[in-house]
Amino acid sequence: MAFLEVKNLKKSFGETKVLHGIDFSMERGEAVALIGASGGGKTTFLRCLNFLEMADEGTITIDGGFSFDAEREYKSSQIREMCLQMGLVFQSFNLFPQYTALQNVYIPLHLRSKERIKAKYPFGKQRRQKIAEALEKDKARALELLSDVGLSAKANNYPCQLSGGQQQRVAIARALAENPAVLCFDEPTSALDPELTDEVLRVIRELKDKGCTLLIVTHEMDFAEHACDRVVFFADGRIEEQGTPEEVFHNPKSPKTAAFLRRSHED
Amino acid sequence: MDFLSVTRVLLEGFGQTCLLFILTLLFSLPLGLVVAFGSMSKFKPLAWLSRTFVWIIRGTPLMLQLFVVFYVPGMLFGISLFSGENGRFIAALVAFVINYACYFSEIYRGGIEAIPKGQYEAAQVLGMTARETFFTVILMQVIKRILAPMSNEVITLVKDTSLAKAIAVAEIFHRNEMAFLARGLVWPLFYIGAFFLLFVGVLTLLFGYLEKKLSYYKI
Repeated sequence: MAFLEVKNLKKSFGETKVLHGIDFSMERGEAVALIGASGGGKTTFLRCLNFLEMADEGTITIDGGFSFDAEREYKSSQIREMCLQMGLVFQSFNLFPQYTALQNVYIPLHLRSKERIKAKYPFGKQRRQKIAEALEKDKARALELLSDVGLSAKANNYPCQLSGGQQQRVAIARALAENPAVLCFDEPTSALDPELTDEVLRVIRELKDKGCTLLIVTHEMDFAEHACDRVVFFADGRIEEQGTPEEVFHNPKSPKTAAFLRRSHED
Repeated sequence: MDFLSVTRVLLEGFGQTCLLFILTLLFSLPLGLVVAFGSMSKFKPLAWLSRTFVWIIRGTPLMLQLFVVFYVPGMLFGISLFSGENGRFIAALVAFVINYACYFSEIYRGGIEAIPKGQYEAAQVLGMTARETFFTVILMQVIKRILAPMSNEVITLVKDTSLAKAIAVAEIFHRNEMAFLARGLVWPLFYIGAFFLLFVGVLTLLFGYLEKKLSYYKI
């Protein structure tokens, strides 16, 4: 059994079928790039893995984590539990504008710490004390994460005071806070000026070197080729082809892949 | 009638005006949020009910609503809910709270619906509950967005309180009419204008201060 195992994942929006039964798996510590033309289903696939869309059919299983089956009904608390196993970095960062970089990272983390403490200690002084202790710990962890993405100096800046690349790095730190089993990226550099994409891609590379399991929807072909272990090509809601970057980029088996790569080279 | 004793009487009336204003805000601000959630509910009958209610309240004169609240319970059930001076004040308060809650609800709705979907999605993937999302992420952004239309509505409320005169609440115009106008003394009427100008001036400064306070971030 692979670390992340997706079986026969299907999703439609009304009459439009977006995913036609995706089978996909990845190992712990693997970095996988999802490439393909817009409308091919990459982003929907990622959103289904993060439960922003509910798959119509299929299963998602994480080693030692959870198992999601589209046939079953889940309570919102169970969905939240599953969400925490996955991390997602958005194309448009989606930082909370009223909070500093540090607050953006520790506030969601601390809400979860508080929830766990409240479940354990129903009331009283001990609970308040535990929450105060957790707050310090969560802040320290947030600072550590910010320094990992090279932003300790910007911890007290608001998102509007940061460049796009810096905002995206804060978003990465925020997504890492709960130690997700798989960290997903939805076109993390598409909203950035070309000179800012490098700093974000560098951070993603560092995560891979640290052994994080990464799933990246990207149009950065260079990055997919040189920084990822495996490349998966999506077309028309199906996985058309997958393999090592070498195989997919230099010896594509499917004519669709070849055509897509030719087009993206021309751009 | 000398200036000082006119001032004293008008101040008493203005006290009632201010009390009506503050209590109306106190109750209608949270109630408006409840109505807004009703209007945005995914449960269609509730949304329909809420929007129809807002339509009726916004679509009829506040003066009429004052009469309805004050007289209709008595006409229908033969009970006098609002008797005496306090009763009239409470009737006015109820009418104002309902009316303003409806106006506020639409401002809230506009503010809430203007928040990008990405904010909700980010909160969701970070494992936040709907409640946490609203109170830690969304609300502050909504407040910042709606401050300008809210200041408009709040300033209108200051002046709308004078409608309470219609059911003889002892607010400033009513006091003026009883004490001075009835005796042919006209100038205090214009003096009242100064009270309102001053009060609205203070409110304007307050909203300016709030706006500045929230300008530390951009949406």
